[in-house]
Amino acid sequence: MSLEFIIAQSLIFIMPLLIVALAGLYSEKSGTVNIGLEGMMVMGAFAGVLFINRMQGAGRFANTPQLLLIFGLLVAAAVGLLLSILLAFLAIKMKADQTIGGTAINLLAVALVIFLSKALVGDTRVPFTPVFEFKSSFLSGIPFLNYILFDKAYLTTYIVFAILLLTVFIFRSTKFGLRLSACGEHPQAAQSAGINVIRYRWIGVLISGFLAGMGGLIYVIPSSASFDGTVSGYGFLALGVLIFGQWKPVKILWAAIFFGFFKTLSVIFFGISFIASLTNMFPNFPFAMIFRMLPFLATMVVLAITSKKSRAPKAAGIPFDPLST
Amino acid sequence: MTSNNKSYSFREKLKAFSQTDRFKMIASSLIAIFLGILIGFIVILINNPSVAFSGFGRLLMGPLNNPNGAWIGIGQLMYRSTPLIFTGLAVAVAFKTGVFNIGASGQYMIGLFVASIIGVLGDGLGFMQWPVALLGGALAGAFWGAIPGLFKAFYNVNIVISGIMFNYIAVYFINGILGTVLRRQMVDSNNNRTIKVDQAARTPYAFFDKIFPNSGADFGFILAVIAVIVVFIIMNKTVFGRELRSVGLNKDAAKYAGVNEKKAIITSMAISGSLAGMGGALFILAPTVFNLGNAYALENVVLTAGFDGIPIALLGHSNPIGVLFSTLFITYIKISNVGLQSIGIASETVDLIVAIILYFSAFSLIISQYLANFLKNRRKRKKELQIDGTEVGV
Amino acid sequence: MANIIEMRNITKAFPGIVANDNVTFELKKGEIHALLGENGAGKSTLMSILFGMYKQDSGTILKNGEVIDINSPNDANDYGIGMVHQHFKLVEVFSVLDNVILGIEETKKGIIDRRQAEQEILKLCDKYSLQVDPKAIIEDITVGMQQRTEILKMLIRKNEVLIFDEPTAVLTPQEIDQLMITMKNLAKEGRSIIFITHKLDEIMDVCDRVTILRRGKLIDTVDVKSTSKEKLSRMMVGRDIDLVIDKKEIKLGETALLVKDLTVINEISKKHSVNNVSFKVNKGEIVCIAGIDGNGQSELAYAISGLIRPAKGSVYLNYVDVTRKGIRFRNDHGLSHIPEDRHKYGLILQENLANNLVLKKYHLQPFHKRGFIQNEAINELGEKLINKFDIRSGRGVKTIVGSMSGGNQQKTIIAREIDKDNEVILAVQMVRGLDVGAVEFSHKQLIEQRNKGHAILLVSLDLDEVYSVSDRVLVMYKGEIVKDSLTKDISIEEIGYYMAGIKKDNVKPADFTKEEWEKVELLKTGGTRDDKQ
Repeated sequence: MSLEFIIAQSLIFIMPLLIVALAGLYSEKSGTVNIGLEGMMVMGAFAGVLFINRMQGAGRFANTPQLLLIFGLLVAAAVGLLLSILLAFLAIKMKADQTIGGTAINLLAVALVIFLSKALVGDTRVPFTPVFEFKSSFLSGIPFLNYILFDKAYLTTYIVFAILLLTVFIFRSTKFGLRLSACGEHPQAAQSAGINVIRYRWIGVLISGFLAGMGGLIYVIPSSASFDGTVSGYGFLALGVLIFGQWKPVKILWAAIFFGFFKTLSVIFFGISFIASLTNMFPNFPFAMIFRMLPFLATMVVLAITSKKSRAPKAAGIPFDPLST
Repeated sequence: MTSNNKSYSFREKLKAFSQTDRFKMIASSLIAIFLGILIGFIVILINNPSVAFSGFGRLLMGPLNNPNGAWIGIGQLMYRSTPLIFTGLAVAVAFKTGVFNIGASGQYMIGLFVASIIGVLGDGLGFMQWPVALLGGALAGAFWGAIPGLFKAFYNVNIVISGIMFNYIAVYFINGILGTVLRRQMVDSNNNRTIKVDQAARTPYAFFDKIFPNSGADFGFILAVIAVIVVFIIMNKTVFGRELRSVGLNKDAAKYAGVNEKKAIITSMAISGSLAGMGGALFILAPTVFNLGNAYALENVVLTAGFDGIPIALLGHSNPIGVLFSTLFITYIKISNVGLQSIGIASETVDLIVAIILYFSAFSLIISQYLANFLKNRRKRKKELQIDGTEVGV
Repeated sequence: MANIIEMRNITKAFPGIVANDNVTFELKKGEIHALLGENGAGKSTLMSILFGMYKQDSGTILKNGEVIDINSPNDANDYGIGMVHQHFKLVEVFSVLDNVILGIEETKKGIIDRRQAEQEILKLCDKYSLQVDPKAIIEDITVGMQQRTEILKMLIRKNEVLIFDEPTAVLTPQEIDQLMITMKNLAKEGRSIIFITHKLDEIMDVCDRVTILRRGKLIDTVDVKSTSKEKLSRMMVGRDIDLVIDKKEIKLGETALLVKDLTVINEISKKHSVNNVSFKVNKGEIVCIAGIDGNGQSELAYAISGLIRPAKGSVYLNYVDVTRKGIRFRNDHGLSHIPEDRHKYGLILQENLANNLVLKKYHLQPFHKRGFIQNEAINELGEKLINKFDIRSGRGVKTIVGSMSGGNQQKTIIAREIDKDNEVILAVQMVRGLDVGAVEFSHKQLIEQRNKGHAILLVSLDLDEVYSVSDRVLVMYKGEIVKDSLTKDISIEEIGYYMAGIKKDNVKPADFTKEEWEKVELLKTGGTRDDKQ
């Protein structure tokens, strides 16, 4: 079990967490709590994988897998965005309870995906041919870096990283970022400054749907050859990452790395010689169980430590009434 | 003259009733249901236009279409409702305290898990095996529910996220233990499911097998109804229940009135968890064997029974009686699944309908919230424009 | 001077209330024009219409003689109208600079040009002698600087018409003076100022004209030079108000409340909101804690009531140490609390009147029997209190409290707390937002309780209230008691100096006498005490 393998594996888990946490960031910073990230991921993953499946089945993009991936990501993002419209409508227009609305979206997405899966593919499993790994030897001179950055790498990793940088820039230096944050912190102040709070909140939720949908596909692509209708709680883990990252893009990166690490551990633990020998000594001991629980337990511990002084956007979760002064 | 007065007062009463909150709640739930079914029908129409109408008919007939007769179908309805009434109550009790117990699924599974273990390994308990298994399930659920409550009370961790985390922890824990430590004793390797519990651990039929033979109905349904009544009494007639509800209405005022907020949240979550746990226990302890029976399949999937409690609680406006009716309704249409499948309509259609109903029932909350907001804004504007003592007409 | 703004025949109604009834208001260019009226007179509504937050039902607005249509704050802004609100519209986590430029950010290639904005702000600060640190974060700065940020928002948008909504409520006397100077400078420069207030002194000090509103109607518009405080007061209220309440001499009883070395530390900022405070209140007196909002009074009150845990110190109720005891214990052992935030703490708005009136008693007999609620007893209590305190409600005990007026809601709270017959009554900002009638009622109740031999601790931001109601006054400044004096021995001006931190006494911390400490010990070991239930 080499270090470069561990790093490459970790990236596979970190990236979807990162982008979905950023999705949650856009929504919450603008004032809407988005519990429906899981559902948006699921729908995005389904749509994206289905698209790829169909394209591959028709023999298209055979020589340009990365282009296929990009289109797949756009499809996934678009579907996530469509689903987020439901949340935006519920939370912003109808001023409903955002937690319940998000849960409704999750259940809806799961039911819809199973339904469509059976209807369009005939099975709950949507397969695709996994040809997206870079497999390049661009930096063959430095095998360690080459392995991580160019061999076992995926385009999605770079895309997510670019989105992270873009997000940092948006919130630090742009008009849009400043105004969006104002809508989530003190919407009345924003309104009296002439900002259309409703519009910005809609945009915040739509962006979050877009990124979460994309995140769903990003979750599936590097880790398997099919989509089975679930993203294993990643949408919720991403919320934990968001809170741990205290709603700041750079801290979210560290948080994602933290959790990605535990997730990686849960799949490669048997490869670590020390643990492998332990497993041999105690064959009946549920090692796998412990490692699978670890990301969730770690999340709980981290949340317990950070939640006391948690500084969420002040008006997040509170429906905005334009008539309130 | 007298007859005129009578009908006038009836109409008056009806009009007065239509202004009450209760009416608005029932109406909004019915609207959500109507919309859900409508959309479901449209989906069927699009997908399988040829069988659309008979499909819709089967949807409406549900369990009454049971091949053994409508009466047996009702028995089946009772059987399938039982665990869901419990999870619905679980979510409802938590809602009343202002807490969204999305962890009901995990609590359900833990209850199921413990009851199953006692049911298989507890043969030394003799005739006590069933009550102990049931109790074990309830206590295990209470424990599992109290944990997110503790995290919220002492560390201010968002209860929705903890609930979800512990759902997954429950799944991995249960599968881990059953898959290794207790594998030999508890799991049937042929189908990777738990072994059926001992006879002595199964819920008694009471008289149900006479009235609804082979439908699955058993004493568990009676327990569910008892639970509804008990929860109703506790929440509405006792000081304890009032304190929980006050925390849900205004936790600051409750604190000011002397209610210990931390204790309230933890107790409420424990009660909620115990209800969900009992639901899980009753599921696995059911005496009837249908196909693979009520066994637990070792898959890394969070069972949906707990999540189903959410739309049930919302449709029932977190009122125990409302929960009972909305469970019966949702189970009713879920049973239609089989009927639909046999004419070629995907079984997930009903799941879809339930999910859509949930989406709209989040609105039904709105209608009552719209009202609350309206009152609040009225109050706020009145505050800004303070008019002296006279109350503005209702 | 021509009229820069005219609001003609403005009418605005909300469900059940006519907030503005055919009001006509004119603002001359370069003048400082006060809008005077009690709470509920309609001044805020009128200005909200001018600022575009509401739209009038009928009537026209003119600027420089031309009819204009204002549909949003943006429109108002375009017409050069700006407003400093009572509750600041500032994003707490943003810097002063970000708050000022929000909505009008200048960008260079997509990036906000903060450097240029800073230059502009500093120039304005210089020009108008406003002291402000552009990089400071709002939640860290003083209220005065926050208000100056709001003023800068208007100046940078080149607003010609500036509306100030009750700006002095949160300022120290010094900051008030500074604000008056700023306003005069702005007017001299040609800007026109509307000053919403109910403080007569300030009007006489700085304004050119006054428009008085009462109950939604225009009463009159007069020149300040030709009127007096008494005349204004009369027009504002419609009758002569008795500023002095008749209090008879009462012999002081034992120490009902002792607060000793109390310290409250803010969890997030780690600041000492309350710093080593010691004082006592005896039976038969009304002690008032005066101070500018934000100097620790709220935290002190919450610590006494049990809603906040103090970091250090103790609270003794009737010689019993209640510091580590819960809220219910305090409720049941002598403390009544009329809270600062009525809707947050004092009432459950969704519940009916009866349930709110029994809110602190439902766990006691006869309101429950073996854990089961006894609705009859609860309704009986409700009826009794409604009659005794004349609480107006639509459906008697079944009325949902959320639908009642603010005055009656407060009556409900007062009724409940007094009915408990506790020896100590803690009342925080009791009459905020209430009309004159409700204020009179509340004060009357307090004095009655005092005359009965109970101890009252009143926290107030209103110096008039402090002066008229209390026997003794404690001034709080930056979390400490800086003055302890009998009310009759100190003037309002003096109190103001202490409030502002200009003067500071070394107040001897209150403590029990030796005999009293013995009593405390006795009670600790379960000695006799008059038990009430």
